Amino acid sequence: MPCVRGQAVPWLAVPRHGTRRVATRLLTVAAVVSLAGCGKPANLDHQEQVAFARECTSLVERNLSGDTPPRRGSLGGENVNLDEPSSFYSILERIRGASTYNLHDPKHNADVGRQPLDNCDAKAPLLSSLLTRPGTTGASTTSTTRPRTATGN
Amino acid sequence: MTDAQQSTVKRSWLDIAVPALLVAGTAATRMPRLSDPRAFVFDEIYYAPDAAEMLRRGVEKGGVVHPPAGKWLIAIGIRLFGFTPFGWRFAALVCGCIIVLLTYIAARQFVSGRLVPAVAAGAVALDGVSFTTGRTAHLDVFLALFTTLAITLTLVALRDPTNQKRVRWCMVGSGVALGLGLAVKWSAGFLLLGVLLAFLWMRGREAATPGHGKRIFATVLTLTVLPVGVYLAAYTPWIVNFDKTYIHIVRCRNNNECSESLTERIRLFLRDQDRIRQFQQSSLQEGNSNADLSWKWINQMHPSTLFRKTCTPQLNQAPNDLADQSCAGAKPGDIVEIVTVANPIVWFAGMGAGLILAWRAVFRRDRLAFFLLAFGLYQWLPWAINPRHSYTFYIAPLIPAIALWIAAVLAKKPFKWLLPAFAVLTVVAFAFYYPIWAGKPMSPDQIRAREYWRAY
Repeated sequence: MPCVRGQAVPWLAVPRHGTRRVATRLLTVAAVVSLAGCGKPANLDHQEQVAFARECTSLVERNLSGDTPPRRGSLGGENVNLDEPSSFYSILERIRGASTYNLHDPKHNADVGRQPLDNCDAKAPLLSSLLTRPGTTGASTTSTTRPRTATGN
Repeated sequence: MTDAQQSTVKRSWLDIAVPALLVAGTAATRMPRLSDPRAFVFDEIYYAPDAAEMLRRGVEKGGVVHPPAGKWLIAIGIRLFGFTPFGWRFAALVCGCIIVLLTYIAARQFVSGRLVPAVAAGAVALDGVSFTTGRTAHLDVFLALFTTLAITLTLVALRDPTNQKRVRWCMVGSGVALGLGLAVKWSAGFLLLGVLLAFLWMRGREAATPGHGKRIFATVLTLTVLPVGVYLAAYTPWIVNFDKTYIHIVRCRNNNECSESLTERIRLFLRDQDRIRQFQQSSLQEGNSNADLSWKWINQMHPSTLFRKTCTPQLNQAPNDLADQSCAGAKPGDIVEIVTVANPIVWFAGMGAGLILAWRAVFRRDRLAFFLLAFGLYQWLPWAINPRHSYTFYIAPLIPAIALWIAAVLAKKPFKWLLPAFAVLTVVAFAFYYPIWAGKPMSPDQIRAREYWRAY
């Protein structure tokens, strides 16, 4: 395949000499990366619980923040009102805070990974949310391409 | 150029400096705000917890619809930096930078000089789809890495098909890369056929010497059996840790003594693969407002919004352990939006370049144009004829191929004068659209001004 201007291009990727040296370096990098993948971070569980709590809060906020006041919803049987932020966040902390996520409950071992977040939809069928907001994409930004339940066989 | 000649080529410091600058520049544009939002962006909600679970138990939780390799890569970032947004996005950042480097190397195979390849690589770095997928823990950036690697190796081989040794190693490398691509997402298989045809074409050019038939057979084997072997190898942890998979848990829920033999594990593995196939075929996503028919990618008519939030003053009162920080520094009423939409300069220049290459391939029988087009179209047409509604971030593997189309066109005389204009406009467009790619809060009017697809 000729070069565009008909000129040769210096060979970049694989120098003729020192191929072994390059291969050794690549293998070393691969080994380090593989080793890095072994084991798990010491505080993985706590970090994941915090991430779930933040995600849950973020989902509720995203559900409500675009509405016109009053920005109210219902979560886990409790009423939440974003316009009263101190009570809003204290309720969220209590019912969806990091400590509420049990990552090792054997009953949920076969669940989909995101399942703990299924209860983070602040259902707020108030008048304000029934109106379409002009100028928005109308997009559900919480995905998804995957089934919500495991289909074990 | 023969190997003897190559060994005498004097290397320039630019051979290192230009790629290093491209990688550093890409990282510098993508690092700021990488940890924001401190919430899962779109399907990170699946992949990050799955990756954490793989570190814990060696396998994902239930409902898996993609092979494990991409999630293992995400897991490396989590292993290094913890289950933090930076940790689960780190692998995407690294792989996104490598894609830019590979694009440069790929363009160097058919364009002399460093300027045009650097501009092509820069176009990938500054494209919106590459940018957003290179900063979030989705699988498409990993798929793009392996498909771009396969394309690069095929172009290296195509540069001198008479160099048997090089062709052989590039073929093996492409086979491994596409196997890894398949182990990220099955859609890597689309390119597999294109790469196989390119190597068969190289074999077909060889003189019919003894052993020619064997070499053709070896080519087919290398690009079919090897990728499948790599794909199966990626499932080794799954087979080994089968007693922790959701399949085992569901099967053995009421039986503590339950265990599966290796044969049974393989049978259940095949059955699970069939479940994934059925899901992929039946999941048309028609009701999904974020997805649309793939032929609409052609003008970016319906991009996928990965994250959207309206900022209100109340959000500032969120305690640290609940705050996603996406609205940090925002004014009341500002909107945070992350949209996977292409840089319009790169995308539409790419479409134009594609047409020019098609003309060259048909009327001038330009082999380079033909292969470059094939590498892109093999990753697009299977989607375009599919009734399934798709997300725009699925085009992540297509962006490097399109950048190569642009390089091939801008390197030639009639269009060479456009190179500076293309480079400047790409940078300007990147700066303008940056807020909707990086999730920077802006007023609704400013956001709307950047939603160029609304003009259609």
